[in-house]
Amino acid sequence: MPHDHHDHPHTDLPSEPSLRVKALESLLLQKQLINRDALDEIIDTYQNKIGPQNGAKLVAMAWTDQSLKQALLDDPMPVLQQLGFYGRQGEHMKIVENTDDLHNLVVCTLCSCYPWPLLGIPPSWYKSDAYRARAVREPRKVLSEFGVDLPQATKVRVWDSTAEIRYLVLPQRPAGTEGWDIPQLQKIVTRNAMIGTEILPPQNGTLESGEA
Amino acid sequence: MRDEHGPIKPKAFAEPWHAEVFALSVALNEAGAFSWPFWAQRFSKNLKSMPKPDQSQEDHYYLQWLVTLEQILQEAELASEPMVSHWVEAWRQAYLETPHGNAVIPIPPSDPR
Repeated sequence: MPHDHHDHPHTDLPSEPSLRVKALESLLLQKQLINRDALDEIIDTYQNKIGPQNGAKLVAMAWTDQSLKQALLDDPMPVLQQLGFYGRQGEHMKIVENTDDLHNLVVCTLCSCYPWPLLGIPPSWYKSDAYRARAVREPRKVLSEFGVDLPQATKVRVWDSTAEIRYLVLPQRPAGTEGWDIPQLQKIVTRNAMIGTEILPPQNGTLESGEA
Repeated sequence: MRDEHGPIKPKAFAEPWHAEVFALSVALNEAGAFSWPFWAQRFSKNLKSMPKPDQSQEDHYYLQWLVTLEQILQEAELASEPMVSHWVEAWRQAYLETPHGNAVIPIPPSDPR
């Protein structure tokens, strides 16, 4: 046994919380309150299929289509359903647009409500007590710790997510991306920009593929 | 509080049990065991506890997630504390008795009811 220093032949014992989760799972499966396929589907979906790439695509589409963008800002749900960006914890979305005058920041002070269909599972810092407590109280300071230093004239609006309503920030399209198509644009849209803790930097005008 | 800016597809779960307890809760919500607003309210209360010094932020978060799920299931009489404990021991025994490399299969405890 390569991992073994002392001589025990059995399988390594998982952590106590891990055993408790296995226990709950076995009990609920035995009672047929849940089934194995549903559990596997959920893990596969959030581990492999859904993530910030969905939101990034939506942002890129909004940047290149004024009427789509307006529809997303006015009433996003029909558009999101049509595009397939709909599902658990994304049943009621609001899209908020960053401008020169207004910067939007999303938090969940309650726990960690987050738009799963567009961004997947939230990052560690979004779930942290520090971020949840401070984003509303001192948003400019929090933003500056993320490297976002806004001009004094720019207003900051903080959106507190709930179990019912989730927010996505539509970041400003960076300079130097004129003429880019959706696949090119979606590559530069980051998760943090869609939460509001990053401003997308100007592009130097040359595409990654080497085209001018 | 800041983390990597890099990959557009970061790792969703740090540990397998984080993913497992997440999936259990989502599946139970979809099966109608509880509503998500109810879940969020209970989870929020438990999240107010502070992490232990040796605990990672993610471990604390998902441990509170697990505690919330255990409490809700116990109150709804869907998973009693004794039955959960029996299953924990069944899993522990199975791990201790299964030779390395073999599938770990617990022996279901008898229902004390």
